[in-house]
Amino acid sequence: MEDYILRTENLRTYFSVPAGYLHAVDNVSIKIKRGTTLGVVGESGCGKSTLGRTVLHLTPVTGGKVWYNDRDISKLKKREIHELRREMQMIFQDPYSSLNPRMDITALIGEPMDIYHLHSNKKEREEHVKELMDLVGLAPRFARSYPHELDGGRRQRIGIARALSLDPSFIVCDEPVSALDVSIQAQILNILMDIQEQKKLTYMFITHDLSVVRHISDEICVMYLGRIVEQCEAKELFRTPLHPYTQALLAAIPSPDLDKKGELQIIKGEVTSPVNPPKCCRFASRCPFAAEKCHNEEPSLRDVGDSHLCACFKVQGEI
Amino acid sequence: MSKIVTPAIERQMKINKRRPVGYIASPFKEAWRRLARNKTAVAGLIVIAIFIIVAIIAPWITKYDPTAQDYSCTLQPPSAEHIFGTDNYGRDIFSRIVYGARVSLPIGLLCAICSLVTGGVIGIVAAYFGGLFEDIIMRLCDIIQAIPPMLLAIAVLAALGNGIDKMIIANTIALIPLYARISRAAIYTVKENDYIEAGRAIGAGNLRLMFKHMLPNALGPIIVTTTFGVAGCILVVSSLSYLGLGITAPTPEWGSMLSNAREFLTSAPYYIIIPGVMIMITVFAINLFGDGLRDALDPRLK
Repeated sequence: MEDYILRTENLRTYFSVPAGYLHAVDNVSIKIKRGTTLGVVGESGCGKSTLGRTVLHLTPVTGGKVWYNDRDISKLKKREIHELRREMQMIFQDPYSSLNPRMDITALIGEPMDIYHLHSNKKEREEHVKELMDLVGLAPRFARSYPHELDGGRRQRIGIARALSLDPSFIVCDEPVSALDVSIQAQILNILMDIQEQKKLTYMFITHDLSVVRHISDEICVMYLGRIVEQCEAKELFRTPLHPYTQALLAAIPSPDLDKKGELQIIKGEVTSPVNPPKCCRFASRCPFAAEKCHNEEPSLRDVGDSHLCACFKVQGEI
Repeated sequence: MSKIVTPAIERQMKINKRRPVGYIASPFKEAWRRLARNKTAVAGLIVIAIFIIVAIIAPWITKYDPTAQDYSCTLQPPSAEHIFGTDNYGRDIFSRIVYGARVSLPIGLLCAICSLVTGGVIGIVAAYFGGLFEDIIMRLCDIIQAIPPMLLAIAVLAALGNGIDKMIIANTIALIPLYARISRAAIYTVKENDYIEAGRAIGAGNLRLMFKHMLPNALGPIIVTTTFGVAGCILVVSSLSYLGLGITAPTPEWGSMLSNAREFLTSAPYYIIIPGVMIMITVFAINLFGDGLRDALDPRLK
């Protein structure tokens, strides 16, 4: 049996809006192997961030189950959630707004330690903060700096150090490099991968940037309007994308090759509203292959060979 | 190879010199250092300090008893004998101002602080939890605010009886909704920030989120309101004294001096100008200090 650190089964997160329910995450079942990285990709508003936040109990679970180390964590008491946070942490997207501007770096990195009373004396805490700063590549001279005195890359390093300060085993990275310069993105990604190796961490890496996710992920799942449409190994996805949506996404990656002047395949139409979505394939309205069945029935995520999961009637051979 | 020094690097070097590795500055020390560099704030602080010292050493710097009447010299303009002149009972205005500081300042400060703390906590808690709880609290505030603060203070004084302590209570109750409202609005502006979410993710509890993450970032408008509040309290107290509530007649108090002097506005203008100017200077000094304090508590403004 595979060793999964986190599993979800039909996980749902709905938000109540005036027009009904916004299905941000709808029947999502994922499995993350210990020590690996699951990349979650999709366009803005597809529910990928909400998925990460729901797993961490930052957004309440509407339905379905989440298992962490084979323990059901979908219905927990406040106390239990608090304890769980030591194990599961998050790195936020925007390092400019996710750090309290009134706290200096030592205070920011040390805060989780204070909350969980990790250290009994100041010196130990100070040492631990220094260690973490060293781990993420922050020079000790910044110990007393405030976030606004630093650039984006350094700020994101603070965010990483903060997430690591409780020594968690699972981290949700919510677009950790999207707000950074391309030159710094690579540094941060390398740090994340180095630390993963060193500390045997498991990542759930949320991003809209396919080149980033290719770099860091072992497995990738593609989300569209709250559902997973395709999931497989990273290499496999880039080699043989099956779902029409994934194909369109990959075709849209800008290529630096000047000779390769192919036609850009643009997805036509608008995203269907996630509020009270109709019972059909959610990509049907934009899909070039959509048949009648796609507009009437909802495809389920099925293995179409080599643990390549895809939710498309065409791929499954039903139309 | 010589090092390239840009203004940005220079600035960082300066900061590093000030905050060497392993150096632990308490946030208060840092704030104090920033406050000390703000000249206007320091000026405000000095004026407040002078007033407080004068109030403390009142008996040693005044020649006359502030309540002693002398009908041989009523309503005299400022002179060497009476540097601020005398009032309609022949009492030395300088003595009354100095002794009045013993009453006006503590009342103003106490009312503002009491209503700030209670109203502030109510507002923060209401904004943080939201929902029905917030609605109930804010509607209660609406009810209190529907009554003019003066009338409310009179009603409370009528119920509790007369006295300076009761007056502070009455004033505080009348001002709580104002502070609750201001702090609620201030918390709302920072509540949705990512760092609050980030705080939640590292397991911060409600109290830590409210008072360590939200409040410090929402302090600006709260401090400014408080500094104005001190002035407002001094004036409300003086109005109540004028109505014979709270502070009774012979006790020197700036507000009641102001109201007494109204009859002599044309014949003895200095009588009304002097306590008025005193209140103005106090308010001004507290406002300057409050502004400086707000800036000093924000590490982004250097």
